[in-house]
Amino acid sequence: MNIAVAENKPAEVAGDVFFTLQDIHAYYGESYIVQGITLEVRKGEILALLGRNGAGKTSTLRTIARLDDPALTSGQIWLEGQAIHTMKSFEASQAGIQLVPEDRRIIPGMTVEENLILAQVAPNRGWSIEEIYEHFPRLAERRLQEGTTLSGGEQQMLAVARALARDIKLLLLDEPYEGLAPVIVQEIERIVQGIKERGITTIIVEQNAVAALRLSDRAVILDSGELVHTGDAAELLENKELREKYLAI
Amino acid sequence: MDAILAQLLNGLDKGGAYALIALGLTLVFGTLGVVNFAHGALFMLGCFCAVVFRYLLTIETVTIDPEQLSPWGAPVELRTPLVQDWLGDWGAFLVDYSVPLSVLFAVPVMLVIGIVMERGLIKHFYKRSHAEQILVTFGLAIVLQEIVKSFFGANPMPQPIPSDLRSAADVGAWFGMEAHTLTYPTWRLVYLLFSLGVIGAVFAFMRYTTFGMVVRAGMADRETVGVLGIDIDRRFTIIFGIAAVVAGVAGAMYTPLLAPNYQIGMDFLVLSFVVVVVGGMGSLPGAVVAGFLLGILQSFASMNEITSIIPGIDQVIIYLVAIVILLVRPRGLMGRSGVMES
Amino acid sequence: MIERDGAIMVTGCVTTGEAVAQQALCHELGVIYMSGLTHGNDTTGKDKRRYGFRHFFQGYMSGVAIAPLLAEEYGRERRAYHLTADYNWGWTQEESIMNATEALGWETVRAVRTPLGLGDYSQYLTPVLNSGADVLILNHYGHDMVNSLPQAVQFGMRERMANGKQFEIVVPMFSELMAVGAGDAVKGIIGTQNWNWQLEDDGSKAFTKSYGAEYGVPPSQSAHTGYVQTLLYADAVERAGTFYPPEVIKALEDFEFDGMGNGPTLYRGSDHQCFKEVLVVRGNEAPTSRFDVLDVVGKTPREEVMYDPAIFGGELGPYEPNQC
Repeated sequence: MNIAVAENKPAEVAGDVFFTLQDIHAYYGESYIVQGITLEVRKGEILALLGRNGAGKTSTLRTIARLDDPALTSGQIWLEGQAIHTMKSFEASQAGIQLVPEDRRIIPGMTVEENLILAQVAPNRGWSIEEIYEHFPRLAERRLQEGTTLSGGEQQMLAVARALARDIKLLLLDEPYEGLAPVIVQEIERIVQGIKERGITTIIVEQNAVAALRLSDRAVILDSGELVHTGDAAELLENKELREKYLAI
Repeated sequence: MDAILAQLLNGLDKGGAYALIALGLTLVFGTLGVVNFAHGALFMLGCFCAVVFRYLLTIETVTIDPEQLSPWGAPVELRTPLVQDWLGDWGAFLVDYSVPLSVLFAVPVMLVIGIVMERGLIKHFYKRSHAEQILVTFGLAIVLQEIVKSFFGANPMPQPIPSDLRSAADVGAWFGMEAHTLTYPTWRLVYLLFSLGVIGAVFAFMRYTTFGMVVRAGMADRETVGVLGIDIDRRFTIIFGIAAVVAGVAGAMYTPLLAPNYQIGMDFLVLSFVVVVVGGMGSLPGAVVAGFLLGILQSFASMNEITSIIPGIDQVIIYLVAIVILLVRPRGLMGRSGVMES
Repeated sequence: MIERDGAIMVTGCVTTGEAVAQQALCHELGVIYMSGLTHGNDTTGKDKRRYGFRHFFQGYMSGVAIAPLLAEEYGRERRAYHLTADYNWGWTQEESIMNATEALGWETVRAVRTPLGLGDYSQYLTPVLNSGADVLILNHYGHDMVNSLPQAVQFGMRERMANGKQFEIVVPMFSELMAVGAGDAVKGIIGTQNWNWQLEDDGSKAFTKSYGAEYGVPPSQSAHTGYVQTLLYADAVERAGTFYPPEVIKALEDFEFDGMGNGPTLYRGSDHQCFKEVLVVRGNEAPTSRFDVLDVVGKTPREEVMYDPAIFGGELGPYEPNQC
């Protein structure tokens, strides 16, 4: 399967568009998951990526992060004029795309601190480890503890902190509230709010659509791998019809 | 009691060799996901590093003495190693200690061989199926064997133990036992210590260096390491080189115990896979533990008390254990769940 | 070779397993087989064949030859532990040596079979130390011995005392090549040989000189037997006046000859085995070169190594070649 590689920037990219997906198609093996998605993200905004289970939200994020699966078969991804679609995952991360995966993926057999140090091995670092400990005192307390023995909320904190340790141009948050008790969800919400306040451009995938919409500027809805709605987050929050149709809420 | 202790020592020194080879194999499988059937050949090449090193050290000047005739009428040749000519007693010492010194020679040589193997061949097969990897690496092993055979011939080339270390050490006496109740060849004890040292060095490297940390992370979760911006493929070359060095020095030091020939790699290859299967395919500590365990099992199984009940058990016991493990706990003693279980 | 090239005589082998197999095949096809290096009793024992002939000595003869020197050097009250290569040569040598030593009064503590081609004997050597034995007998040849003997020495066996005596190692049959391969470990080790280049008789000296001039090294016992067998065949053909195998066979049977380096030799008709004196050798403590690593320390006369062919059984079979 070939990726359509075009190194020229398309003409219709607007001046302040920071990040675009242009008609991307992706497969998990034979399974056609992302079926032609085009969207754009402006600098500093938070975009909610919503849809039912299996709509292709996580797959879209993984494709943006250039993981091996799903495989991008055609389409282009541009970040600030850089062609992301030709990159491998490590190159995308060095270019500023940081993924906080759905299952957190804290590396077993390594301490909290080692997980953070690992994030800073490759170039284009973000926050220093001291800065991270300042903002996440709980992680500082547990710095020498094995990462996978942290509670769910703490692991989520660590996963976000790991991303912050790198230079972020586009943050991809995949289900940051999943599996967390409501009290913990609030904590993570505060962290994401902090990210928003720092103007970090973010795409957030979240089952808890209401929480996501409250935080976001704009939202897109996926259904069976295709984009079915783009619009203002606040509007979507009001629009019962749409919500019922695509989000079942 | 002494009999049991003696067999234990024997098991440990064999186990040291098994553990070293399995260690390299696991490093390659655990990080690169490559099943490397050329690993035994790396052990063999290490043995021949010792052979070559000694050969270089013992390049001789030959003078013919026309006065003296051998009993069948040919003139007698006087051979003196060049090294001895130049360095006198020091030279003789170097020649005597050629095997342990050859480790210093083997490290860079094996590193280069490993890097060339990886860059030249292995890296093209990372994403291919295990079956293809096996075919290619096995083919490489055969090619390497044949190259060695064409240079060195088919006869085993035993290497000598340094003369001070040729006797048996009175191990029993160290522990307060009566003299001469528990003796064991000194060189085998040296080998055991050497293998523990190398194992320790590898683990220290993995634990205390950044590179080692990246390798550990890569072994645990390759995808996430990429997400964090690290190009693990590039580090694979070094890892392969390290695995080659570990296998190679294990071979070099083993040459006085088992005269190397071009086939020695194949004998150890099967064994190393058995060890890795038992220990767990992705687990470094597993490889070490399984290596020693199987060495000890094999040694005890050859005790007369046991072979009189089940003759031949010593030949098959490690394979039996491997079969049991594959049936009951396919991930091995310490492997990560999911590896090998599909 | 027999079918494709029409060979009428086949020679050469390096082990009893080969000899027995090749001999049987040649016998079936009516081709004379002059075996080379084979020392197991079976070749002219239970597996004897009319068309097969052996010049090289065998296990029983080694046992009988070596026993007196063992008794002299090591005494009659010894306890022996055998490590034996697990194939027909190993088994028959073990049997012959065991019989010969037990006849002296030695006790056999244990006999353990080791797999052929095993490199690392340590797991078999370890139990020897605590077995109550004071002699280790290695029924190993070739690569097996080149590995097992040095390893046994590394285990410090020759420095130990057991049962109040110095522990000893015996290798009942070995060659110069193996002695070289085993290095220092062979010093002082007692064994037997079929022939040695250092013998003083005219035949041996002439052969050694011309072989040495051609190849730069003195001939081994295997080389000697190869040349001798070929010469004996040629001579038998001349005497019979024909290449027709049954006549050649008759010319060889009960043939007495000398001058081939072993003293007066009989090619016995009842089992096609050569009977001659047997050399007892010992590893040279101070070799001057690669070639004098063994010293001849005794010669056992031919009469003492004769035995009744019936003790091994087997049948020679018919003179006429098998018609299929």
